[in-house]
Amino acid sequence: MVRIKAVSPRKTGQEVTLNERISPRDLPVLHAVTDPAINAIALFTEVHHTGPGPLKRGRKPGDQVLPQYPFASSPGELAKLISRITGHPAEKFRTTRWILHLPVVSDTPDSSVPEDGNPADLPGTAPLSPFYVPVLLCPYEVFPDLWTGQELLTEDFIIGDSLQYLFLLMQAAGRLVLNGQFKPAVRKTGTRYHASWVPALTPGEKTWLQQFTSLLPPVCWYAQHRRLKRELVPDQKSRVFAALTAMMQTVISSALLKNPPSIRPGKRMIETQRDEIAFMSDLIGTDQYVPGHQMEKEFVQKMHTWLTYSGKDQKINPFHPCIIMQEPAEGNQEPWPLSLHLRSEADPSLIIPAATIWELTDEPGGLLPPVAYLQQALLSGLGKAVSASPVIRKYFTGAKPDTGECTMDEAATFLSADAMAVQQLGIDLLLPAWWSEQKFRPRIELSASRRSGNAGSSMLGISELISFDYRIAVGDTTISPEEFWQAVRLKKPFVSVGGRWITCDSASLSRVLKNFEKRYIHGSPTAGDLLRLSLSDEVGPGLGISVEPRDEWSLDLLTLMKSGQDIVAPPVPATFRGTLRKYQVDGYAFLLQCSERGFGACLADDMGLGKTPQAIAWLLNLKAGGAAPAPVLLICPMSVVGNWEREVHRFSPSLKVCIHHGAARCKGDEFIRMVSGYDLVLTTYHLASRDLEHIGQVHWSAVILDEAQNIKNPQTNQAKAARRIHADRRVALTGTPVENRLLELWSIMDFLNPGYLGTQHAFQSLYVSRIEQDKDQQATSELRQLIRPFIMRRMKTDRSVITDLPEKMESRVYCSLTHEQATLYQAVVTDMAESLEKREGIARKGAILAGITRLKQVCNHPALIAKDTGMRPERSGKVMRVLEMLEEVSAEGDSAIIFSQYATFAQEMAVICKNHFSCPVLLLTGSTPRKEREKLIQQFQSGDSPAIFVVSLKAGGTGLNLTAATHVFHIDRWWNPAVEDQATDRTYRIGQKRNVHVHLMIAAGTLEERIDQMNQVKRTLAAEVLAHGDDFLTGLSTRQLLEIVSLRDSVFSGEED
Amino acid sequence: MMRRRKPWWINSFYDLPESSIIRLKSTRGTVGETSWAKAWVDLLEGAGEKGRLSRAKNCARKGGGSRLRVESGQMRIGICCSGYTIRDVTLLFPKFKDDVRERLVSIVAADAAMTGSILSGDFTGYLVEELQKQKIFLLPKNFREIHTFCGCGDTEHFCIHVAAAWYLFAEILDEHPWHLFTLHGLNRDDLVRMVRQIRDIEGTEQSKKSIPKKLSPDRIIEVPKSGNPQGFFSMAGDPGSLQAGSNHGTWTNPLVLLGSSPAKLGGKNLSDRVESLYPTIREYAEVLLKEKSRREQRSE
Repeated sequence: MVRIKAVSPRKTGQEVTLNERISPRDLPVLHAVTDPAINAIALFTEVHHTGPGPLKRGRKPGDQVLPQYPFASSPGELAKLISRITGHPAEKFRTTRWILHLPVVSDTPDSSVPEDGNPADLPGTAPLSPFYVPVLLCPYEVFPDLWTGQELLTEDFIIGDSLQYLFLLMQAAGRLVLNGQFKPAVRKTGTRYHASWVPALTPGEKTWLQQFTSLLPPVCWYAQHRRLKRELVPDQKSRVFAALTAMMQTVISSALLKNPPSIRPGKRMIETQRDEIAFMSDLIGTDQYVPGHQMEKEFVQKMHTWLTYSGKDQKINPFHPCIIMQEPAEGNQEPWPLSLHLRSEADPSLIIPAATIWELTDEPGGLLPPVAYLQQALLSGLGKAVSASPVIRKYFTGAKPDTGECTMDEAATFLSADAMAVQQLGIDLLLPAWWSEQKFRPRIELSASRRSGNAGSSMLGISELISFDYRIAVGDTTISPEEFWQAVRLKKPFVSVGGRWITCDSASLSRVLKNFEKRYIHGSPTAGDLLRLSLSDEVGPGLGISVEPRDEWSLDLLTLMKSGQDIVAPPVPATFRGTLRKYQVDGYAFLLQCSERGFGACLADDMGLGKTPQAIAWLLNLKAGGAAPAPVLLICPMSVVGNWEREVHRFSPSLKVCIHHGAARCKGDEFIRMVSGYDLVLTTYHLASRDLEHIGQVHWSAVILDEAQNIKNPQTNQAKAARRIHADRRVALTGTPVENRLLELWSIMDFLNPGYLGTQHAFQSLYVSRIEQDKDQQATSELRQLIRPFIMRRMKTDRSVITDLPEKMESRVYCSLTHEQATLYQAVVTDMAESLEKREGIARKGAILAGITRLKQVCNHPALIAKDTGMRPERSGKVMRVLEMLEEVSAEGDSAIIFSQYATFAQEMAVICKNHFSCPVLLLTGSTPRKEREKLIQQFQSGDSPAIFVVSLKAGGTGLNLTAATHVFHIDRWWNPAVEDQATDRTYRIGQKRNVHVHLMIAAGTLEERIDQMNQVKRTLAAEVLAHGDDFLTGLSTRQLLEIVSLRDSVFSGEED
Repeated sequence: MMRRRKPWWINSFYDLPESSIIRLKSTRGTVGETSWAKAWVDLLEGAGEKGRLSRAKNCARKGGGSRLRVESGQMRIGICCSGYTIRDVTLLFPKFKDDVRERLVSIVAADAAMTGSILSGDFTGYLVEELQKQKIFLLPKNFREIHTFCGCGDTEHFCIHVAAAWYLFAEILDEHPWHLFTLHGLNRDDLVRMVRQIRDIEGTEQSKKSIPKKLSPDRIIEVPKSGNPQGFFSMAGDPGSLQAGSNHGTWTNPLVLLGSSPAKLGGKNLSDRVESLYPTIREYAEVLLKEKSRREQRSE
């Protein structure tokens, strides 16, 4: 195969003679020279005769006419060939003669084709003398076509090095244009200004150009297009740069000619912005928009200033010094290379090494701003940096600092101490990725499994023992703890772990790791620890953590931790009478989910959302599952014991309930025997702590705390007692998990899951002070995450709940009587029975009504009968319960109305409320003047803060509009449900946007309960028709009446003493 | 006592407007923020008498200074400690001798960081320390190098007025550290000029360049009398290893470096307009180069 190669016959003569097809004697050699003054390349051919003819001198000897180059041939044929190759008409190529300066050896000018003989015979130097050479001028615009069709030339010519050189330059020009290394420039020709394109070379390309220039064959060095008096010619650099510029311009202009961009100037633009349009037109190479327009000098000067970064106030896009620190070469500990660079703000990827900057010179065709500017930017940055960093001061000294190699300790100082300060001085730092990126911090990869394996299903819950395994991970690689310890023990500021560098404060890291191992690897970690670790990001400064489950049990646990309360609810047991709302089913499922795993759960729904039925459903599930052969203990305040008893009867009559209360309550062994016959044992907080001796002996299947805020103070006896009761499952019900202080939450959580939130002291310092005093958002969310799986809190305003709720909810609240009330009640009943014996007719009716009124008053407050002044709330179970509920209402930020049919009691109630709450308490009775009345209503309706309105039923039962309230308390019962409904409707009217909660306060076991039952029947039978209320009672026989009014309940508060 | 009013040429503190009163910014503790100012104060506090120093500091804090002049080789300031009479205090600095001055310039020029400080005008402690290492002292080694003059009758070397002037000057040095050069008889502009000369950096504040006739002015050489005939027609090496424009991917857009141009066309900056031409041009070059390499492959 014939290889066409650029030949330099003298150099590669050997190769050419081996090549049979090309004989240097047969084919002429094609050469090319340039002159910056001419916008074309001069081609000439060299034909070798057997010997050069005599030198043709001018006609007269001694004349200044130069001799003709003897080996040159006429380029006439060449024009046709080139015209054929490039497709341009032959007329485009002009023939003329140029002057070449060639060395003359023994009267013969040098030739590119070797003579017979050894080329080494040539002398080292020879005089240069000028010769005329006939040339064909090939314009630059044609040259790209000649370049692409280069191989067609080789059939007739040998391509000389000088032409080959230009072909290579053309290739380079194409590449530079492809890389976008060109920019506009302006120049002056005659009296006109032009815009055109020039190369914009990076320092690297400038070096290339310099090296490439040095290859230029000497024949091109001194070529002239005409003879000058003194032999002055442009130097090689100017020649090559001019040729490169012309070639790039050719490529650019043919690109724009082929795909002409449109600037589409409007009419006004053509009138007012002729200079700008002319500038763009010049660059594009078109003359169609403003033909013949000459750019103004001022405009051109302005553009020139911009294009050459040369203005006085020219704002150059700033360059910043940039220091790059790298890691040592692989496998080495030191040195750490440091290098100084300059980085452009406009194009941050442009980073120029300092060594380049120091050597840079201002030459045309550069991309960068003037050297002086760049050097000054680097110098002044360095000047500032040395005072900020001793490492920089040490390594970047001397006139032209560029690189340095520092030790590991210095690198550590630089990265940790100096880096910040240096950056603040406006110096860019490119540091190893692992330094700044979090993912390269070492972290513990922990895998967890249950110690007892999957088989056991004990109810240890939070204290279930876990076994941990761990490895250390850096980035994507992991290593064993032993390897890591080895690295840490080196006590170096950086250690290489698994092929990666990490920063390592060995003292703190080994302390953290040691603590971690001591606590979790060698100690006895529990499920609580696992949950805590799964939520935290790090175990200590500089050491992160991620937790992976290794068995199903821990996977389940971690999923629970992550997903929280989105679980599929199991069906509600069939023994449950009634239906749970959607959100109540969720709450039931939540209780079940926690208790199944042995964790304590806290249901913290708002008052009125039905915590009781949810808990009862859960109880039934326990019983149905056979998991609860042992009884369940329920501890609640005295005031709700009766309520619980009734609710349990209502929702699940199948449950056997016993109340552990009263002076005659069982104790000791008898107690244990007794409770085993029941499903549910109700008791009060007070008794739970008093009788802990007995209660603590029983192993309960579950313990439920209702109104769990009663154990909010962990130091109280009842809180201590609650914690000491043995139970497999623990549940707390409360409407206000945190009333005042965060510690209350700890107390409840510590009852549910002992040890989960740490000791009280630890909790205090870790969360309480941060959240309560510093309002630390992070601590808050951390704590929320931590307790989320074990606490379910829903408010009435929750979107998911609100759609489930009816607009009006009515609930009966059964309150226990106090001992005093019960005694008094019994006395009134006895008194009434006696008096009825003696009376007949109207008198009897009057006595009945008076007796009933007295009984109702006793139920409200004993002081109403005794007529004493000691209106203490503790004396009435009902008042106590109302106050408790009002507390919750005001904690939710709601307002409430209290209706009573006794004006005197309403007054007393208002006084009690005023003493008890800080919010405004308003009172409206029949004696309130009309003006005052309006004012009160106005005040209540417009108030933003919660308020309590005590209203006498007769005075305010009708004609009022009190929609600001969402809770209505009927503190005593009216015989007629319609009157109650009407009163309730004060709040539940048009204009009420929220749900209204109606609480009917009923003294348990008294005539109120009986009347309530009758009223319910009434309502279902024929609602409003029954308006005879009292008549119904007065018409009864004494026996029937006593049946109704007699006290049935045996549970009275305050009896335990 | 009746207050005497005096004409202004008799030093009277009351004639001074508030704006020309100089007082210390430091209201308690030490005076001077920068390392050189602290070193300056240390000279005084190592030698002065305690009682006078504290009174002097107090006087300087109360605003006893006025009429500051810093000239080549000396600093003058008016100090009033009594609340009435102003004493003119002069501190005379030793000027650098010519050889020291030359040495200073050459030391600065030989260190990039120092050059940077001088050129950018960011005075740093590094400059003071490095020059000190080379035995050129911008701050005096000893307080005795500074000759002080005060018209008061106190025979103690640091009278209250001189000490107050010394304190005030510490804070002046915080703000105008280049005074240290001025006081040694060196002008910063001269210094910058000399350093530039040695390092061969032109000033960035060039005058407007005229628009060239040619894009790249040729450098002219004379044709030598003789040359080497060997390889006269050949390239001087293998061009294969040299390739331009091989840095694909990391193109630095020249127009991004130039920033926005001073002219707009139709609401769009000319810089953006020119930039929009680039994609077409670059695509064409790519086609051209591909065509060339295709033909080369075919001929092989």
